[in-house]
Amino acid sequence: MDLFDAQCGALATEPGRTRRVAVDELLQSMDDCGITGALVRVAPGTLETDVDLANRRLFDACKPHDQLIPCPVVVPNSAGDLPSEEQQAADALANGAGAVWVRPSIDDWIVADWLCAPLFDALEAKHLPVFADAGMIDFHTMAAIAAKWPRLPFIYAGLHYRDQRKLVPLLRNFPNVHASIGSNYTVHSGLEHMVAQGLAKQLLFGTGFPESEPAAAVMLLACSPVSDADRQAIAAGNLVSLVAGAGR
Amino acid sequence: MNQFVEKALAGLPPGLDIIDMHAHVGCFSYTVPDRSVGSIVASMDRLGIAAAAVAHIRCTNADAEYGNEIVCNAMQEYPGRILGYVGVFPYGRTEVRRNVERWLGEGFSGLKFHDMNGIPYNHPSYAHAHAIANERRIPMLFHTWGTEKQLDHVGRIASACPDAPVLLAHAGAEAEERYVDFMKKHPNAFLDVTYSRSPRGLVRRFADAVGAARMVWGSDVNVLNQAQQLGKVFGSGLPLEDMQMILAGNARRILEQAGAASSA
Repeated sequence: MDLFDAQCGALATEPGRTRRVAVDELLQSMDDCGITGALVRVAPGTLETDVDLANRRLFDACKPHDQLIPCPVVVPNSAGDLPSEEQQAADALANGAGAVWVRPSIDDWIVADWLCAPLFDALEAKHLPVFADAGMIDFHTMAAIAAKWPRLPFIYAGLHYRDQRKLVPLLRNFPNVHASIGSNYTVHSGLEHMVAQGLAKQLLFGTGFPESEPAAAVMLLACSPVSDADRQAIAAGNLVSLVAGAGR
Repeated sequence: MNQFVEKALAGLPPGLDIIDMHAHVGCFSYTVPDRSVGSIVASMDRLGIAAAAVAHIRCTNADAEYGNEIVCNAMQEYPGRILGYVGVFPYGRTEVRRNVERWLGEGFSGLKFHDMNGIPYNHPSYAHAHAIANERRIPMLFHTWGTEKQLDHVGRIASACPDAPVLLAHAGAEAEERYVDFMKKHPNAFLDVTYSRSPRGLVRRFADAVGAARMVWGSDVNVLNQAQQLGKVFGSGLPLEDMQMILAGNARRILEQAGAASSA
């Protein structure tokens, strides 16, 4: 089974740690777990405040490795100090990005039409999937932007084992939202329940590396009682399709 | 590739002896699609888990006895596969003693304490429960989240009950170092690595710091996914013999001491 990780990162550090997470660590971990591809962000992201530098390092780090697809950060140019939203989307695609990451609370913006509509308009125009973390974009906000930009695919990650009651209707109502089953989605019988609801096409394998142990996510998917076809779609097929559609 | 990941990807069980020392029946307020005991046993079958020691989630409130009844029914429905923790609620010293003795008489294997009820573990109402555990050398599983006060209370109990295995649930969810310090002071303590987030490297760091012989594995099923919780041990990079101690060896020793291992 191919595994394509929708929720992982490297190159950054976090409070309490003394070194950055190297790309080699990510590659080693992928090898250990049989993961053949990864959508990579600069993570952990809390101390990475220089978006331009972080994105350039991410592109450079991914370039030698075909299995690593960059997912750079984009920020609304609401104060006029950044490249235009169109330019950011174009730069991402030119550097092989398969998706982009929005992180409002780290980059000090809020999800409001009057502030960030130009960003989502530009991303939708390029059909560039958006990675959103539930820790920064709550379910209300996720639903609102998924409704306003229905042709823009979203990868919703950082979900919690307590989220099932919100997650199922979110996916059912917004087919452009795709959920990562990486940390901290650890629900007993949750995956098979969502598959039985016909949501397999909206589920993505993810690990939560470097914060979480990747083997945990692999075990969750590999051992869930779902059909081989659904398992393979979740493991890689769905994300491969999303990434392949970027810029088209 | 990691041999256990490879087996899982091939649709095979891990092929190890595994005992889940932290499991539940009942429910919290959030959705778990299938909470049935049958779904837990089905998950155990897929993963080759020999037995799971369960406490009812109503051990967190004054309806704990209802929960114990449900656990007892599950033990009877799946003998040897479902083991029971008595959910101990501090109704009062006499009542606690009566309840604990009743359920141990029904074949329960240990005691579960949860301080979500707002009552500290060293409350006098619990005294008989601690003493019985010590006398019978049965495990006491304490819900913990790394706070100084909580571990101080459990530490006093561990010191007063040196013959009872004291299991610290969710070890490392917060304040990793505090757990390591605790283990140095209390030789009858075990780290229970049940924790949803499965931080990378945590199992390895604990094994390096306190030794695999002092760790047990639990999943928090029927809330969390057993396979996902196993993955953190499989991915730890520990030698096989250490993994085997964490996944079952230590649990068997604890249960054997409590007279409950023969059924697991």
